[in-house]
Amino acid sequence: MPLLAIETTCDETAAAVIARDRTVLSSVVASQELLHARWRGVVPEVASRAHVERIIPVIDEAITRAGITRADLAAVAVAVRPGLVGSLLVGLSAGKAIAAALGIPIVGYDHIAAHLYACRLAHGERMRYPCVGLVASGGHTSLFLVRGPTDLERLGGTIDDAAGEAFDKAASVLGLGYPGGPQIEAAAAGGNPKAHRLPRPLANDRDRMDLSFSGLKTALRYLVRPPGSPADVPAPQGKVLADLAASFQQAAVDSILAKLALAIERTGCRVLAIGGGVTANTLLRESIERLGRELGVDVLIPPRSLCTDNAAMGAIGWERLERGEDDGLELDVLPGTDRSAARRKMA
Amino acid sequence: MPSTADGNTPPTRTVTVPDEAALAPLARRLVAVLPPQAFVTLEGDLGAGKTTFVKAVAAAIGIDPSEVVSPTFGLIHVHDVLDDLLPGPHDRPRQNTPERLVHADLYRLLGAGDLAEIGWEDATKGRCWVFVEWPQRAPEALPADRLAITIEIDSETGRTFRFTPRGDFTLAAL
Repeated sequence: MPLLAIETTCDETAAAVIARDRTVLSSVVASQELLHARWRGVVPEVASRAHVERIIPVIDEAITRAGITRADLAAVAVAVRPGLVGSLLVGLSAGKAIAAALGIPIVGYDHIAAHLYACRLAHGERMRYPCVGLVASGGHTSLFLVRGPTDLERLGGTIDDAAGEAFDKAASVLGLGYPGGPQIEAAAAGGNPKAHRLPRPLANDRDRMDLSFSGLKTALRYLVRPPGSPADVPAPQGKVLADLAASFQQAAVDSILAKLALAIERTGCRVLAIGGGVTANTLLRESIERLGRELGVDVLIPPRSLCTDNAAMGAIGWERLERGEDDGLELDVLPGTDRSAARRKMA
Repeated sequence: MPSTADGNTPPTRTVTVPDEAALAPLARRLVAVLPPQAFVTLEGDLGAGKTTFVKAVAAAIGIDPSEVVSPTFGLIHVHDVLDDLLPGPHDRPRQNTPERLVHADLYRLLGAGDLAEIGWEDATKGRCWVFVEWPQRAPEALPADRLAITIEIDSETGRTFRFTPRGDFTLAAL
């Protein structure tokens, strides 16, 4: 009997049905399937009210597509951190109602740990522990020593902007649209990544595994609009734009690569697991794979559908259920940031 | 040069900082005069240093600044102010410190209607300092009594800070 997983950690409302052998029977993400395009990063559906409106249809759709009925469910798993209280509570309340009505177990899981568990779904036995894990998305950029599916030690992470956010803000500086990742990647095609010397903050600091992207964003802004220039400087075009985008992209990727190499060196791990939407970036993906070949490390990157926010990665709930764990109706949300979440140990 | 109040013009105080290192003393001066419950808005271009200034404020009250990350995606970050983390006796008396530092970014919102749905009221009530980036996204959600800070980019390292009390908010000399 399968597991129902529910995700409402930020903007996406998602549900998935996963068999015990970790086969994903269905995976539904509302923002991709039901909603209209976004405009420059504004996410009107961010409100928990939108989660409330979508959660039941999304769950029903996941159950229908899996070819089962609610009565077939063995358990419920809900992402309970990190995120906004209001949004998290919508998913938790729906999950509790289903668990209580059916008399089945419910377990909470960590959204960030689940991003890395997507590597287990995509690559099966190649996901060996301990490994180094990187989650890089619009809202999160953190590096972990992953001792087991639910046992993560945070090694470091961004001290300012997340990697995906850095791409979004760079795209805004360059006059490009949202989301910034694909826009920068497209604009960078044909550009010279060495055209501009942009900073790689903290990249050479071997005492810490933290990352910083804020200074890179600001340096890019100075190139486009030097201090003292009028506010209506026209957006860069053509070769100028391509060189700026390529130089930014290279600097962002280099910053991440430096910390991945340091984490592998310090931990001695031979497996590198990557999660989060930023891994859709081709330069980052190819650079990490090259790093893996150079260091003799097995690099695991899930397909795009498992990198962006989804509930299929809630398959991680099976890890706790197989240990006989059940949070019951006492389960509560643990809002906050990556870092505050990392300080709390999931039961 | 501070401008003076004439009854119509808000008494804006202007401070120029030559580089990022100068933010720490500026933040300590602000922290010393902020009441334990305060609402502060931060306006400035991308890259002006809004989050960087909140990091400096956090450091001045004993919060690890590396924990203060951009709230653009998470919308509201709440940092507990722990008594045992507060810096030494040279700083403000403990009863005058807030219980929480709330760091919010309204950039992704369309308006105040969204705020009601993200736990804004719960997060911003009580003895806390609320620092809000991109407040212009939801002007109707801002309390009348607040401190408005604008940051202008003068040079690659230099910034001009303007502190303007709104409503009944009063700010002692910085």
